[in-house]
Amino acid sequence: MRTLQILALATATASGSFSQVSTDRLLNAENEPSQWMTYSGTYKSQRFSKLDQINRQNVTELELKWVFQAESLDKFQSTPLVVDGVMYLTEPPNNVVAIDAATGRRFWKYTHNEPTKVNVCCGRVNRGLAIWKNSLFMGTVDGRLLSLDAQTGSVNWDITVVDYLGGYSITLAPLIIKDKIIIGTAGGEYGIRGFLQAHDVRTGKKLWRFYTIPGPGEPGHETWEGDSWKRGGGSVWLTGSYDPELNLTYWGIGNPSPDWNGDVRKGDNLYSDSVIALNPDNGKLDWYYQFTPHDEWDWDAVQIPVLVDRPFKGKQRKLILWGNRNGFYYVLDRVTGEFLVAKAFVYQNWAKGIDKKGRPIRAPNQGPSAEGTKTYPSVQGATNWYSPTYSPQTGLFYLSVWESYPSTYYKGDPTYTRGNRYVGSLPQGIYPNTTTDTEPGYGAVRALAPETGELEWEFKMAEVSESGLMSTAGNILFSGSMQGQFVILDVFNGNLLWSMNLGGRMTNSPMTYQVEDSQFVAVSAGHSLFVFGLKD
Amino acid sequence: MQILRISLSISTLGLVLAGLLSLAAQQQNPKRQSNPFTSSEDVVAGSRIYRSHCASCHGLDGSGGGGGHGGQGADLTGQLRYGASDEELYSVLETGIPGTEMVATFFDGKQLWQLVSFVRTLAKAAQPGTLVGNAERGALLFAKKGGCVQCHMIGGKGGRKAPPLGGIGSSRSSKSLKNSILRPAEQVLPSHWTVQILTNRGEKVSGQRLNEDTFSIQVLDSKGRLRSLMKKDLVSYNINKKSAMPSYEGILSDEEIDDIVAYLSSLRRKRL
Ligand code: HEC
Ligand code: HEC
Repeated sequence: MRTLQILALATATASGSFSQVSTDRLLNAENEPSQWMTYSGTYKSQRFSKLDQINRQNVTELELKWVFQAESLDKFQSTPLVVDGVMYLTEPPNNVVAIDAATGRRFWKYTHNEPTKVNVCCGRVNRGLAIWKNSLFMGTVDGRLLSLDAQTGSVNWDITVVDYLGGYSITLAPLIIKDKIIIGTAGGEYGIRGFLQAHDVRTGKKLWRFYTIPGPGEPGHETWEGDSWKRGGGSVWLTGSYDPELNLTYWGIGNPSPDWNGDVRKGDNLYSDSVIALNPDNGKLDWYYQFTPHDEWDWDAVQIPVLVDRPFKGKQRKLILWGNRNGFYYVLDRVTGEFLVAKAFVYQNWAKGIDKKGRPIRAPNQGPSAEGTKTYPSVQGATNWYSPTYSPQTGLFYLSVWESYPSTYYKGDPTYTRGNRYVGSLPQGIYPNTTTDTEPGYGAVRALAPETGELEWEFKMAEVSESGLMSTAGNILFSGSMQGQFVILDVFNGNLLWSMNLGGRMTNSPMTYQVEDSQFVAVSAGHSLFVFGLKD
Repeated sequence: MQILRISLSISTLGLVLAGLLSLAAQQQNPKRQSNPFTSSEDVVAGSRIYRSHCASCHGLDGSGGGGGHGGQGADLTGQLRYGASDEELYSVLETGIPGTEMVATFFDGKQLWQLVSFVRTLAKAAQPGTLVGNAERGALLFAKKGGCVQCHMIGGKGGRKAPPLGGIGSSRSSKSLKNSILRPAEQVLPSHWTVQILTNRGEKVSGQRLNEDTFSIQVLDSKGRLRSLMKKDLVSYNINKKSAMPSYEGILSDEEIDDIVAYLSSLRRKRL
């Protein structure tokens, strides 16, 4: 038995093949579960895999197969790609490595040369790469977009997208749609004017730009008072989704700037804290829905748009499921943007509810104030950028939540200076301090009924978590914790099936792939990537 | 004993003096002015620092590209990328070049200026002929007459039979580049060695040996696939340290070679 397994592994390592990721392969990624070719696995972004070799029955036989240690101390938020036995990974922030997906041995490494000073709110991070044909694409914290040769790591081209000295940075994994690379810019704490833009996959040439903050003459511009739109924020720092049938791409947009002082930007502040649907061919807006009009808490709608086709009130529909940082779970029709359902999934006290049209009914006096206002959820939100997952097998929507954790929101000076923070004060306590906080709240993985947002089950954790989720056809769900506990849960009831202490904060979202006969699961903790498979 | 104490106090005095000097220099904001330490003594002092702190990467004569602790320094004998002014050079030596092996240093202001003085002499000491070529003509020769592009890729264009050469100007001196073209056999990087493999299953694999450890070997095979093989599954693997690069000695003229070298030298990592 053992020899047999070893042989299988040998063939596995011997047969990585020439990486050619065609548009067709990207469109049909769902049916090639051995690969992981986009940030969320497929264009629908369900972070669900059809692989089932590792399953509810055998998870206890998992073992560590190999570890990749980053030569960097920046936060590890990257989701690797795996194509034909080769793993492509960003080493924080912007080095790229190609490694054998079965053994972790390195083929090549691209080292990025980067300025010492960059303007990033929350660490020099990168969330991953995109691949098309034989080219890899990466945005950088210094505002560049690179194309690398997947076989050698040599630079095909390296262009400056935006001036990082103005507070811009690129941290998301690009999305490839047909022959375009779609990227956006972070910098919501620096008074940027956010945008999404498309580049030619071959040459890097810029093809279109969509400003997330409309300029004079554009619809939505009236939602900004005076000149405030010029520094309105609306960052884009997480990869969107794509529906090829509708030819629409969906993106979550970040907070308005300055974050915690809305006085200087009266109005709804479109398209901050919204989901937007664009035509990828020309960047034209098809529809939008704003979750938090005139946000004063920094609740970016920077979550993964999860696209699901399923019955809703008896009728088959094309939906987007969205657990928002503001504490509400939403269901939208993704053809039209029609608002269907909203329900709070944690304790919150900023809104009395969401009205029939989908607009929040704000509770009085819960915005930031000079003396500080205690509001739920916290500045880090009820959930954040780390991926949720949807399992077509259970029909449930799963997400990582921060329950009952408030922030005290202070309003302060909103003075803008180029390249510096422009936040209008700062709320206290970004992360709970479990030794001093009297109200630390707690973290949980929750399963929601997609039509209603009703809680189906929860797996409670002592601390909050920044780990994303993944579910698989093996009917298991992967997550982790701030303190490094890697956990595998039963998708039906949230029962803990297996766990292991990886000894460092887990800040990426798990992914899975197969090489020859063996399924692997990869998660990051601390400064390393840990790869698991079944015992030989 | 006595002598020792004296020398000790002298060196302490020296330290104090140096400290005062650097303090004074800092107060004057030395970066703003031109190099105040250019005497021949300063050059000698700079060369001493250079020998122990820089030569392992940049070579004793500053021609870079080899030796040392796996470090590959840039050529300092030709035109410097950061050498437009002494101030610029000073700040490179102080802060390094982020993301590269060129790290920041902790020398004081005076020492940095002395290093600048010394680095300037490297360029002067360079043999005539360094970077005399014309990079534009070189680019053309690379693509056309030289046929280099059939094997080498630069900026996504070119063949896959040989290592890509984008950015090579940052790590190789013009001297060693010239050598690679005229006498490729003389120095082949281990990651450019080739390997012939026969597996247990009778498969033949050949290609560039990218990496190797006790148990496995990583190859970019002749079909352009990245492959990792476990040694226990191999009947044999033979490493070939020879160069598959043809020598251009006598094929291209001296002038043409200089042009190509100038072109390759200009292929630097993006400047920040
Ligand atoms: C570990 C290897 C290493 C050491 C040690 C090192 N360097 Fe460098 N140096 C490099 C590399 C590599 C580059 C090119 C970086 C790049 O890609 O831009 C470089 C670049 C430079 C440059 C810029 C060249 C230009 O074209 O403007 C100067 C000047 C320089 N080094 C001087 C020094 C001096 C002086 C020292 C000693 C204090 C030193 N270096 C130590 C590796 C090293
Ligand atoms: C038939 C294919 C072929 C052609 C044509 C060719 N080379 Fe090469 N070259 C190679 C190979 C293989 C290597 C790697 C082995 C070695 O380092 O010698 C190489 C290595 C090099 C290196 C050293 C790279 C390093 O990082 O050490 C340089 C420089 C170079 N070639 C330049 C050129 C130039 C300039 C031309 C055209 C005048 C050229 N080559 C034409 C195959 C080729």
